[in-house]
Amino acid sequence: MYNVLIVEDDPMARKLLEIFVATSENYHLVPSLDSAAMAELYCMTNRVDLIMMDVCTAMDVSGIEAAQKIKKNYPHIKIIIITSQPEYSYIAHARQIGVESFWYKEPTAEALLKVMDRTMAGESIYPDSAPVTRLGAALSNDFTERELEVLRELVSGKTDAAIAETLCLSVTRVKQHIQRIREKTQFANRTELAVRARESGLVIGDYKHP
Amino acid sequence: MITYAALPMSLKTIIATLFFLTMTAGICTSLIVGKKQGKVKLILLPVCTAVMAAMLLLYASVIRAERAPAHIPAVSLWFEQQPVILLLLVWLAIAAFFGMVIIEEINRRKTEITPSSIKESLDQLETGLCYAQPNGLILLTNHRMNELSHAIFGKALQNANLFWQALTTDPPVDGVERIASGEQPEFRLPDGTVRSFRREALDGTIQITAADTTRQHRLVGELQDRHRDLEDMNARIRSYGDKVDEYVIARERLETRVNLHGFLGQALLMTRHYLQYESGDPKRIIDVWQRNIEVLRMEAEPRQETDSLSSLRNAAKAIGMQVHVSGPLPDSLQQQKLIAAMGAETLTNAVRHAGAKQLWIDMEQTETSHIIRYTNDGTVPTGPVTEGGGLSTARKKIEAAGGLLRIDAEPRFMLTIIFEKGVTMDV
Repeated sequence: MYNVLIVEDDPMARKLLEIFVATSENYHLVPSLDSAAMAELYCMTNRVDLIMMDVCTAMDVSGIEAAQKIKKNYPHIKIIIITSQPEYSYIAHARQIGVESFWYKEPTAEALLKVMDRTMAGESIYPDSAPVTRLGAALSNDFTERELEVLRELVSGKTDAAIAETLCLSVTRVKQHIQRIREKTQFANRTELAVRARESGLVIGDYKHP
Repeated sequence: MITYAALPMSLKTIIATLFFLTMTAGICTSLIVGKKQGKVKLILLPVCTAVMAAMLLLYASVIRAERAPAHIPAVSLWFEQQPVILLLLVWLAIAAFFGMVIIEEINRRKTEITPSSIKESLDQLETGLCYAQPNGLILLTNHRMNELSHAIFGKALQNANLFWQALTTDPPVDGVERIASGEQPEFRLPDGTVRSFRREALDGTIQITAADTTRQHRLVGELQDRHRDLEDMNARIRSYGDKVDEYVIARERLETRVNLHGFLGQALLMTRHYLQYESGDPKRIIDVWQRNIEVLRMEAEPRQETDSLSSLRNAAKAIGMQVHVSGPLPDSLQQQKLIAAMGAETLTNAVRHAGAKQLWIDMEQTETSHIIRYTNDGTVPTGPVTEGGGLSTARKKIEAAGGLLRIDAEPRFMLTIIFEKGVTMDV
């Protein structure tokens, strides 16, 4: 039987995951955490075989950041990143830091348990891509990676000059990217674009690559 | 061919007078032609002399016809025997030559650059100009610069060095606003125009210019306004971002709740099917009902909202650690989260490196700042403390939030965060 640690800040979602995991006899739940900040300490003091790690957790601590530390110090612990956010870069970052599996939240126990079983059997389960979301007149896969990077910085409330500095681009280039995104989405101005992008979850403004 | 001698007296006098007038015009032309037209002058002089000689001979002929010819030279006799048409042609050629010279001289005066033409041109310029010797003695200045001297300081421009000194330091007259001092002084005049002064050393000459920068100032002002608007808008986006996060969380929770309620429908359907047909696995139906009861109980119970530090304390307690918190928390939610996250990081390091079991978070509030100190009951570090990945990430977050992080290894390991009051930034 594997010890499973759930790290999820939303009590309802946590409860749902606990119910899902409890339906299987292969897994034993250890007390869940609402913040990834405490996950490493928990792994240090208790036996944990599998972590179900949410990306955005309490205390504003990133689950991917915490997973990176845990994989470094406790490589034997398997981790499944779970999220409902369509933020496009999560999958790539999770792969990069060596996380075994990635699961977009679904309301069925069977789907989750299947991912857990296959992960514990040594498989790496990743979705092909982030869920396609709509942003104005465009779909999330209509944007280039650079445009999404610019959009993320824009959503953070940065000026063109600040975006240019962060992404090592010229201000003119940043303006061009924003103009192209606006043409694709058909939003009237950059404020509407920033607000709708933030609401869509396509880019999380505060999210930084670990 | 009619000769001059055969002409009546009146016509003779007219032709002689024509030559006289032509001679006078030739002499005047030679006087007005510039020095640079030396070759023209050389030609004009003999032509004028010839015209004068012809005029005298013609007049001599007129006189001889009226009086005794005894003292009239023989050449005059020869001259008056020449055809009238020839005399007129010669006169016409000479008059045309003089005319051409006069027209050329007028054109030359119009196009040639002279000191006075330079002064006239400079006075037409919108830019103020002043050229002076290194000691300030003015060589050339235009109307605009003189006007500006009067408009800004209420006095005439008499010495370029004194004028520049006044431009850089002296207060202007009432109604004029100094916008900039130093090497590029600027003034706003009562009519709203802006003048920007510059001084340059040319070859042994000082040049002071006063450019009209009103349009640039207006554009810069508009740009600054737009920049301020953009900053405001970005601040609103940041502020909205916090609210949207709450909205996204609320939406996610609602979706979760909808999903949970789906189980209730599933349980009802399964139960109905079982009761109707007595088929199905009763154990599974009981499991589904148990899940539903757990969820319904969770919804029915008043929700315990836990702050970040309570969450830290509870999580630590669950693994046998103790976190003691004392003192007032800062009001900022962002700072509270950072304090708790730093507590988790510190506790993890204290357990790993010092075998600690307890963590103290002592908060103190001064007039200007919040000070948060982290200590633990682990062993004291024996060497210098190196800042690993976790601590350096925490430091970046704290500094991004406008705080400071200090690490002390002696007399015991202590982390200190200082947040200045009223300073919050984005993480």
